[in-house]
Amino acid sequence: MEWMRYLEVVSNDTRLSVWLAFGFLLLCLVNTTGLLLAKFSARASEVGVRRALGATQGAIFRQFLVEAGVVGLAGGIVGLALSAAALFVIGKQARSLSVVTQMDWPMLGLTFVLAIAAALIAGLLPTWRARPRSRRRCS
Amino acid sequence: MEIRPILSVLMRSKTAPLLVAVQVALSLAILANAVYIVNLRQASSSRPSGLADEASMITITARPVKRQPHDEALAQQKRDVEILRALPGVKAATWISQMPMSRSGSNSGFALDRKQARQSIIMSTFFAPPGAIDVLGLKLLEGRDITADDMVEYDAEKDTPNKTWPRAIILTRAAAEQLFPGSSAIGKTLYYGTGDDASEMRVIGVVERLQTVVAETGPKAENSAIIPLAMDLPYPKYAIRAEPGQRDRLMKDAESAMRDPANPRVIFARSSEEDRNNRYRNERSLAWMLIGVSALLLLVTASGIVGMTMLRVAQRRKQIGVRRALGARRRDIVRYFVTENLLVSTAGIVIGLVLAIALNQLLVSVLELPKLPIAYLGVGALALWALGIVAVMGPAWRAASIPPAEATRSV
Repeated sequence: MEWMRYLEVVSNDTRLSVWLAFGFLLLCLVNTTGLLLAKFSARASEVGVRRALGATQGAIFRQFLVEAGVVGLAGGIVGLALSAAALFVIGKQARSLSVVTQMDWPMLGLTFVLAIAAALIAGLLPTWRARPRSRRRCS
Repeated sequence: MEIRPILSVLMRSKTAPLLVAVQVALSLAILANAVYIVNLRQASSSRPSGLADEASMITITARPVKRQPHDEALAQQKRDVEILRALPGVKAATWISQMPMSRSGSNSGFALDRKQARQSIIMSTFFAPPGAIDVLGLKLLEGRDITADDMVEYDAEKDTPNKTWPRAIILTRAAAEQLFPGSSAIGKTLYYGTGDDASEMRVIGVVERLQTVVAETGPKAENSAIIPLAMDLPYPKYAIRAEPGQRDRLMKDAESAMRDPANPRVIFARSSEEDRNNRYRNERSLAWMLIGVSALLLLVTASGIVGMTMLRVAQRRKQIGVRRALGARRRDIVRYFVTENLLVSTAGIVIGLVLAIALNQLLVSVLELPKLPIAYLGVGALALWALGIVAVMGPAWRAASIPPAEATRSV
């Protein structure tokens, strides 16, 4: 019974870690939004030129969204390498842990999708703000 | 200060500053709670176990490969203690059924009244002979130690706890206060188990502190009892108090001294320091993770502030040039951006304080964490203010180096 209680303490820690991870993800989402906003609004004139040359609003929207997605993809790949490295290090700590330090492919896929989705969500607002309100922005 | 114009600029383009404020708020909420949890864990892992000078305490476990008959096992126990006491560098030694923080041992329910259906307390039960509390270095607050007369030999093959069971018991202060609040526990009766078969025991002593084998995070960690019972234990253990500086050598010597080819046993020595480290490994790794995440958190927030300031500088190159041309000094430009950032981060900190308290409420209700002391909020707020000022300095200096000639350029 004491042992059960002890185990429960451990799972509380795990829950705490999960919450922490999501809190951190949220922060990064806001951060990425801010950074993309800075990046995109510096290119208002480029948008003006493209619009003047006949690009539709939708095409511009897609262009920026794809850019955000590429950022997410790059982040996902780097994150994948990092998590593989972290797993390796944890697995080295104790032989008994190596059972749980295997790459779980469905989980990995989920994280990857999450990374790209997060980047796209973060990119939505900046992309929306980057759309030209008129064609005179090309100055 | 030129707060009015800065405010009106902020009001006109809200998105980027708002994003930064949200980042500051989230960081503060997570940071304050994370640092608090780290400190809680730190405090829990450095609680005293009751053992005096843990650095010189060794536990030896000697598990026979084949279970011995009762008499043989008890004789072996006595022999082992003699062998250990004779080793050079041993200050004192005793057999004992379990050690605090070692995560292996037994606990039992005790009741105040025979008629009770439920036990009053669950205690970690340390079976030990006279003098064991001196070897462990426990502080006897009241009453007396176990004597040879208190000792009861229990043969698991034929005895049952309701017939053969010690009459004496030593409690920790925590357990004594819980069972007999407001009065001395000495001489009071306690029942091992519940119902008609429960064995009556009398409290003969109270020790200041002795942590359970699990050393739970809460106050339950000190619910322990010492019982004068000798029996054939599945994992016979011996506690050794080493002379200063002799521990590591003794751990090897004791293992080899107890080895006997005629009676094969699995013998291993462990220091109480190792027990403590193993017990709090999860706590430590969580604390390090929280520290790591907090550092990353601050880094990310700083990058957000740098990004926003760079954006605002880029948007206003021309205006900065005009101001410079009209006689503003570099300092004035830097001050403008620092003030702007201070306004934004202050807004973020205010939201963050509310968020931090809300997050703590959640942790209190779900994870049974104590309430967050105000001091953590204050320190967290100060940290984020400082972070904001440091982060804004770089871009602000770059803004200050925009030449006044920028005013004359048309793009």
